[in-house]
Amino acid sequence: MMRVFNYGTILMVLCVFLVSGTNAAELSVDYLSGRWVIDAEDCSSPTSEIIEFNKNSTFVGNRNGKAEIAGFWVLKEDNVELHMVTSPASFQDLHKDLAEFNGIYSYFEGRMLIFNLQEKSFEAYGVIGKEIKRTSAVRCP
Amino acid sequence: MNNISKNRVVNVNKVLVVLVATTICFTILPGFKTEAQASKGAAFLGGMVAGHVVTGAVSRSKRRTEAEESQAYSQQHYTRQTAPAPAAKPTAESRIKQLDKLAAGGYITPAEYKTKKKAILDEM
Repeated sequence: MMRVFNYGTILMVLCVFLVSGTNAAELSVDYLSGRWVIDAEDCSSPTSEIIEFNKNSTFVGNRNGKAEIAGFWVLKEDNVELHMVTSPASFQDLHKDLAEFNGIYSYFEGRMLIFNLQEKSFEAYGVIGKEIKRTSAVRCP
Repeated sequence: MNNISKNRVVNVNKVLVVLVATTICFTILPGFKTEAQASKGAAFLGGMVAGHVVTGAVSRSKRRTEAEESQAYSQQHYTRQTAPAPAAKPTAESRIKQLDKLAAGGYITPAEYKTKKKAILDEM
């Protein structure tokens, strides 16, 4: 019985090592390029927020099937610098006062500090000005 | 039970242990979600933009109100001076930017950079 227990323990440790090893990923332009659904929502859901990082250094933030933010991204170590243009009126569902920005597009600078990289997901802190949000992203097919 | 039967039982047990361990490793463990993965959010980028714009607008509005009050006060008591406003605490972003500059300039080592950045993030 003891031998079986030891055998199982060794296997468990080996498996945990293998799982963590196979899921680990390295942050790179190739890794980040593609479509990512935010906060583990469904990729096919029309209400999901999806960020698409293109290899040509542009990115688009989509929500409710519409592009809301577009801009350029630059990868620096574990940081992604974001230079983006959007109309705050796009987010009047989050704050009604933003409706007055209808038709007004402004530039915003932000960054994402990326961590906990997995093969098909990562977590990040987003920073725009004094606003900080934590999120997770899952790769869409 | 003879020795051959005992060996078969031991082998079956080993196979069962392997199956259970493999199942746990490849199905249950990756299924655990972190706090951020489990949480739902309406809009990541949009939420930050909205917060930034609203906070900025509120700040501007507050500054304008304070300026208007200050002006009115000055008109009534133009000889009296107001106390200087306390210096604003630097934001996490500005501190990280400063850290980036220090690292880029070679003033701190990569290890010091990582430690300091982690400390800033932990404060959030």
